[in-house]
Amino acid sequence: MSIRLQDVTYIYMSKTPYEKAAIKKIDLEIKPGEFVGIIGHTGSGKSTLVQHLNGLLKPSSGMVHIDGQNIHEKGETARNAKRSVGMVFQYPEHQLFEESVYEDIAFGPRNLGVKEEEVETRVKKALDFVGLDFEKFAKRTPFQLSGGQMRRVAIAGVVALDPKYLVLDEPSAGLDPRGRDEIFGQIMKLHQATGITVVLVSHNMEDVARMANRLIVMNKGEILLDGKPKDIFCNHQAQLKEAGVDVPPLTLLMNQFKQRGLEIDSAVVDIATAAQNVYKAVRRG
Amino acid sequence: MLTDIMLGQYFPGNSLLHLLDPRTKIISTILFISSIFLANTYQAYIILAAFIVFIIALAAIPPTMILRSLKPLWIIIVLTLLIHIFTTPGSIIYKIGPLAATQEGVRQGLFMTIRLVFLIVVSSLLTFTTSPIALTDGIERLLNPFKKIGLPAHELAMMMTIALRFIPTLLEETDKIMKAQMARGADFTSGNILRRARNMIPLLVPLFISAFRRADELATAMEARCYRGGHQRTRMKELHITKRDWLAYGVLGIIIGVLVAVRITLR
Repeated sequence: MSIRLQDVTYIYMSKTPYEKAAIKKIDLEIKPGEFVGIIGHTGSGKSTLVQHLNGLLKPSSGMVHIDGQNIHEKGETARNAKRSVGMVFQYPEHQLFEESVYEDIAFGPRNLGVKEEEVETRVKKALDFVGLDFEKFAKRTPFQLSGGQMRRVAIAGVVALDPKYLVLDEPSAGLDPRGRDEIFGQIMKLHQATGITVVLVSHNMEDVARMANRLIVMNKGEILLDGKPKDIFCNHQAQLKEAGVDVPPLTLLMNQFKQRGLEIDSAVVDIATAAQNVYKAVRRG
Repeated sequence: MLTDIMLGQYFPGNSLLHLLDPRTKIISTILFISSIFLANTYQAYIILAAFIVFIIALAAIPPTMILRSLKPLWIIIVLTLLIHIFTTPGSIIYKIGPLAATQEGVRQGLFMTIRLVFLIVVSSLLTFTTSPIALTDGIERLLNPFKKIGLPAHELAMMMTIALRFIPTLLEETDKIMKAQMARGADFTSGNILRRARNMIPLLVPLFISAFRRADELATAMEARCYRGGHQRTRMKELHITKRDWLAYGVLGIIIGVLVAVRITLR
């Protein structure tokens, strides 16, 4: 039970002078319950890669299986397999279209043929998940909300599909730090509460490092690194630089401590542990 | 998906045709298209065909691209052929029910079809070898003399430039919204026409909203940079008529001359 990409290549504008391979021979397996972070420079193929996870793009060559089902076969099972992957695009608020928040979130579940009573519970749950009050927001038109609120409604629209796998492409782009923290906090909460598999594409190294338990670094359409965030940020800094990816500031700080001769366990990705390690090291020294 | 559509069809290159002044190409295309209508004999069509093959080779455009430009219009081409075959009076060669194909009809239909194909190929050669920006620049300069009678040449050209510039952006946006709605179970491909039109709402509403937002942002950005229309505006790339443009006119003149001669001598 997993999402499996085998030898997947995707070529844009095939057979024209603009032809370009966005991803090349990707082999990847995403297992249930994982929280996968995907990072990479602009144009490294991250977005193209994630659009293969639910069949929005059909690979030029290679295969995609979701829970053992080839998603590019015809038929009901393939369609259901694709539907088990929820996809939140960049700037998802641009896809809002209904007259009310309720209707917009209900759009997905209704398309799946969910019964009307069930739709209401799903909308309530989804709004609750993104931290918006049902009574206050359900009847409002989505276009008069603030940017951050619109984004949350859009994310709720995907969560209401009750996906087994949730893919988010830069969910924090264009939000202020507070909006970003809220969105990420809610994704983390959902992951912990339901065990949903999350694939998160992001530029923000710190957040990815903190939340993901597996990190994939893309460079020029290929997977450069794949492993635990701690390991990647601490031991592969040269390769990260090559991929044009910044090392999180926290790792840089810990490195500085080490360089200045402080004996410290620098393999950390969250601030709390880092503080503890600094405390320990200072007491020892 | 949608982004794979050839747009403005520009095919980057460095051929003699690519380097010609856009004004030369626009005028020559119009002249050549009109001269296609001079042809009414097989000989004339052979000359035309030879010349078109020659310029395609000169432009170094792959033949598959040329065929692709004909693809969207093949229904019209086939329809033209059939209508002419069955409606021209003359000696009947084949009969299907009330419809009769005539020898004259076949000849006429063939000629019309070839004309149509030539028209499409020649005009797509213009867009294949001229970038949209160069094209609008050329149109603006050509329309300049009509400014005196109140034609807003610069504004028209600017509108065309902006429209062309935003086609790929809007297509990309359409593609993205379509995918996003498909990921939420929207279905754009099945059902009858009425149902399909209704299913377009989740695509069209966000698309219009974003188009208006973009237009608004662009207007603000242009005003912020003091755009005040075409008055006394200078340009980075000035157009110049060079020797090769005169050469092109010369060659075109000869071809048209030959076509006229063929028309007069062969009846």
